[in-house]
Amino acid sequence: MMAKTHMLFSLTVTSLALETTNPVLLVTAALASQLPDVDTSTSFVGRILWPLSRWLENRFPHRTLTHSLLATAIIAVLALPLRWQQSQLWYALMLGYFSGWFGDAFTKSGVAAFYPLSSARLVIPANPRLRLTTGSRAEYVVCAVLLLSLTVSFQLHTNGGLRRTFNALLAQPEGVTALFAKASATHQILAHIEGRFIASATSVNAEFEVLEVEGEKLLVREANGLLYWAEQESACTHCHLAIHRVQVRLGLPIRTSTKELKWQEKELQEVVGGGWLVTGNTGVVGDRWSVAGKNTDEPPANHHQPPTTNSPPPTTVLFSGELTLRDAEGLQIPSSLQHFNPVEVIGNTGEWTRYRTVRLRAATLKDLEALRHSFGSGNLIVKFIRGASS
Amino acid sequence: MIVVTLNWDWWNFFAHGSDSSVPAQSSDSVRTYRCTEKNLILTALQTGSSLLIVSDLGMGKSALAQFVADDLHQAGHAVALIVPTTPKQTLLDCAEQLGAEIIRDNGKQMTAAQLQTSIADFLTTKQAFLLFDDAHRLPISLRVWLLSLLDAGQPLLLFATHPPRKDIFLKLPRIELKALPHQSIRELMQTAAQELGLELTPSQFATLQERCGGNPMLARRVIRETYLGLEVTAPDHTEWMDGTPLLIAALLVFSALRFLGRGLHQTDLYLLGGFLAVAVGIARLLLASLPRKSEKLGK
Repeated sequence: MMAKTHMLFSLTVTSLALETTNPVLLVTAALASQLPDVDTSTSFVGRILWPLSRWLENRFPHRTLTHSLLATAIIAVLALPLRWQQSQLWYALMLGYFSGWFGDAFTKSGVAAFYPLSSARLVIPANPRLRLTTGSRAEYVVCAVLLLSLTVSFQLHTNGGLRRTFNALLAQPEGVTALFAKASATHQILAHIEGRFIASATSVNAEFEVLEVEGEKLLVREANGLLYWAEQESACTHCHLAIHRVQVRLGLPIRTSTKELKWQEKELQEVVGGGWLVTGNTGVVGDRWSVAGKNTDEPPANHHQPPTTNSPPPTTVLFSGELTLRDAEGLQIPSSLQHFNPVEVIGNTGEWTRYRTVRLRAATLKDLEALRHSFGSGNLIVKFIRGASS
Repeated sequence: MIVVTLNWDWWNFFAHGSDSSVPAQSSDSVRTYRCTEKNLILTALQTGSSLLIVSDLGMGKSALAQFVADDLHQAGHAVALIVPTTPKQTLLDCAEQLGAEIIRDNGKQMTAAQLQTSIADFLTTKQAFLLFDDAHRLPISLRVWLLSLLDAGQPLLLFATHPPRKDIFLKLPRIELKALPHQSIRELMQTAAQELGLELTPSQFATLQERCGGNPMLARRVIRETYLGLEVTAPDHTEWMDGTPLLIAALLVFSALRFLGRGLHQTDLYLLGGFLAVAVGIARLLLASLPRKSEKLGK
């Protein structure tokens, strides 16, 4: 096999096996694929390492010692320190070396894969007329096929991998669930949903940002900030949006962090707006109510930028949990059947009827505006989502 | 006679490589690379035992037969080294080499049956060794005759290429000639190249040696092909291992994705595993339907 065929074969194998387009890994694999041919001084690597190649070619036929499982095992052991330092690099090295000699099994002469236990040459397929001759036209066809495979592999992996692409073909919510589990901490997850709103029975064909996943149900946010529970149409009983088809994709890179917040008998504004959003652990500066500042009455900045814009997504703060509010018997929070209400009054607590329990789920500061001056206790999980450079 | 030990001289090998081969000799080299086998055969014959030597074509049976015959001659024994042709000609050849009677009292040449009796009578009066090269070509009539000689205690040495599993071939203790080590093959190639005045680099030798396996006949042939500038043909040695089943087995591991998908309740993994299993099944069918290796040359 020609050096370029070895290189393309190992690049394709490594790219597919490690699901990567990382140039460092691929270059490592490509170089490693040349190493087995050190047993002949006319090869690229043989010319570089000529004392070794001369020594080897004086003693062994071509494609024996260096094209064997034994040599692969020796290299694997010698490179073990790399495995502990950078395991991906070690895998790339081994895949490159292995595919470098294994490709020769498809040539007329085969490889002595089990050398020195056996000098028998491993060949695929058994008929020598169907195997490759080095530099033949058939080998150039193989090169072209490998190049195509490599391109497909790159395309797959820059799009989130084979499974994501497969899920895109299936266009079912499972794909969203899988990608959310894999990448929601590092990227916005955007879902293009074709379906219909249950309450209004109007059709929808738009892109939503996926905020949460519960089983097969997706909590999605429309560009205007409204939230919906979306589910496959056959299973959609308590949801707002029935999905017919859904295509998921990675959005802009983000960084997320969470913080738990508990308090007793305080005004919500004091708790949420007191500057604590400047968090020590993340350095995130969230949008907040400025208690002492002149913009106290200004609503918080708009977090609901359309997810399709190319600008970095603004920092979003989402609140989930329960609040128990005192003197809130008159509390009215408008709710809608059309979409999910992130803030919902769920009932009274005990004999104190002036207490109200409010449930928050993926609520923004804007959603909490009506509760801003409420007194009470609360237990919230606060999630920060901040734009990050990729 | 110069005899090089068959044992692998590792120190010599790692210190000097095949460059350390002995000085060039003729292609009908007086060296044998099967010294261990030769000594074993000589000992067996001289103690009255018979042997069958089997191997693939070109593995050095004829050369070994000649070496054994020479050694026995030198030791003062009567030896007949016969290559079977027609039954009568084979018997004539045998009788002539032994010095047995081949002419009847009436001055005519003996018939095949008479030759058999003549040789048998000769062997009862004098110790001699019968060596048959290409014994797989022996017709049934001669094999039966040899069986009767064997029963009479006559030591026989038969060399055969993959003989059938029957009569004398099954009855004789057997030695199978293994492939020659790489170093011996390289030395043979270097000698053959030197005889033809062909200068080859170690790299060319290493590449040509790929096509020989451990077969000394092929080692000489590839050098001659290079000398004649012929196109490279598919290698003819028989040391192959078909990796197709291994490849299919490795690909079949992808089928496990289906079970992972089902176990982990991941529909996409389950479906993907199913698709891959089907793809592997199709690949297997296609590979199985490829034409098989022809047993005929040039096809």
